[in-house]
Parts: sequence; C-alpha cells; structure tokens
Amino acid sequence: MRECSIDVEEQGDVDILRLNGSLDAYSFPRLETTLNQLRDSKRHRVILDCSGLEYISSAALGALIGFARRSRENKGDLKMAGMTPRIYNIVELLGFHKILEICDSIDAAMEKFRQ
Amino acid sequence: MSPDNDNLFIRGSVTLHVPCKYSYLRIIRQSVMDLCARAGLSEFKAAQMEMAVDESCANIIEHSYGGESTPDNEAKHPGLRINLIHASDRVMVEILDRGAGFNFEEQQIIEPEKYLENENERGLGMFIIKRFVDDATYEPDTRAGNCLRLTKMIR
Repeated sequence: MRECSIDVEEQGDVDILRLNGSLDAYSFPRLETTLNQLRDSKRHRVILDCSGLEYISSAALGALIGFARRSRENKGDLKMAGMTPRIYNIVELLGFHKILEICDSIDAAMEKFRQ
Repeated sequence: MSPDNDNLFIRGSVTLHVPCKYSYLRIIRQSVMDLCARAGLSEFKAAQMEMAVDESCANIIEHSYGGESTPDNEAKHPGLRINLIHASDRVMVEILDRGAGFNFEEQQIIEPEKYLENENERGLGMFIIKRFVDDATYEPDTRAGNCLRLTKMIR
C-alpha cells in the first residue's frame, strides 16, 4: 500500500488524472486541490486513471461526484477508467456506478468524450 | 445480525498503537487486510472491513479528538489503540480512543441513494461503518476509553 500520487496529463481539451496508491483522509486534500485547480482553470473534461488506485475513501468518492456534477453543468464530465475489481465492487455497493461513468480503459473514456 | 461474542476462541490478535494522524491510516488498513487474508475472508469482504475501519478511524480523529494531534495538543490526543482479532468464525476490530466520544446510535446514516440526491459531498462514513460489517457496537468511556467494535463474519 503506497501513499497516493496524483499526476495530471493534458491531452487536448481532456485532462487525465493518474492516481497511484491510496486515496484516504491523508491524501484527500491533495485530490481536492487538484480538482479545484482544474475547475478554476475551466478544465471540465477529466478522465481518472484508476489502474494504480489501491483504496478510495467515501470523502474522495464524494469529491469526485461533486466534480462530475459541476463539470456536467459546464458540458464536461469526469469519467473513471481502469478500475480494479476491488475498487469497482465498493463503488457498485455504494451505487456510485449509477452516477459516475465508468470505462474499461482511458482509450474507451476518450472515445466517449469524442462522441 | 448481532453475532454472539461469548465463548469465542481467539486464534490470533494484534494490537496497534497509532498517533492521532491521518498518515497512519494506511498502516491500519494494511494490518486489517493482512489479518482478513490470514483469517480466510474473501477479498470483497476484506475490502468492506478495510473501508469500515478506515472510515471509523478517520471519524474518530475528526469528531472524537477534533482533528489530528499537533506538538501543542499531543497530551490531549493520546491516539488510537486498535485490537485486530481473529476469533472463531469472525474477524473483530476494536478501535479505542480517549477523545470526547460521540453518540453512535444517534449518528445519522445517510443511505447512498439519499446521498446522491443531495449536493452534500460528506456524510457517507456512518453508512459504511454500520452496513459494511455484520455488527458495529460502540461503548463510550470504558476503562480503556471509547470502544468501537466492528465484526465481520468469515463465511
């Protein structure tokens, strides 16, 4: 289990957030800062690369849902890609898969943004 | 479901003493996952227990202690004692603290569907603590401190 690193990669009008490690109460402020920076610079199309995500807390999931909602108001979205079965099970158990778009891969999420 | 805690055979236990710091949550979660794997819980059940314990500890630091310890308030923030127990057919995690405690029974459970209907981004923690395990009990002010006990049945 590692501390969470968050890297942002710009690909045209889409930002890819690569999450590696655990998103918990300790790393949550870093996620919040990153999401606020994206919102302030009017970057509303975001893909979360979850392939390296080992844990996510309810507060972090709440922040992602809040960001997705605000992005949709600005014709954008937040899509989650490459989730491991362990993380997906938690997201599904909480019913968050109904509100957050979940894609198999970053390419699939990119394709959704192009449609 | 309220599992019977009498006549349990303790197969193994580990106690952690951790400071009142969010940076220690990772160590707690790793220990929970290791014990669950050793006890034979499925990965899915172990992940639920991991999340219930993580949310509990974060809640206790935030609400019972009023935040993380600092060099100025360390005496009033003695941290958490966590007993990880593999007993008979279950895994139990006891989280003990010396903070102000809270009224566990009266804590509002926000169901995920309600949570998604409103704009509030917080408040799901108590749902996870109470519903991701088979039993959750809280005893305030015992001799060892406030005690939150989470139980997950192995099968």
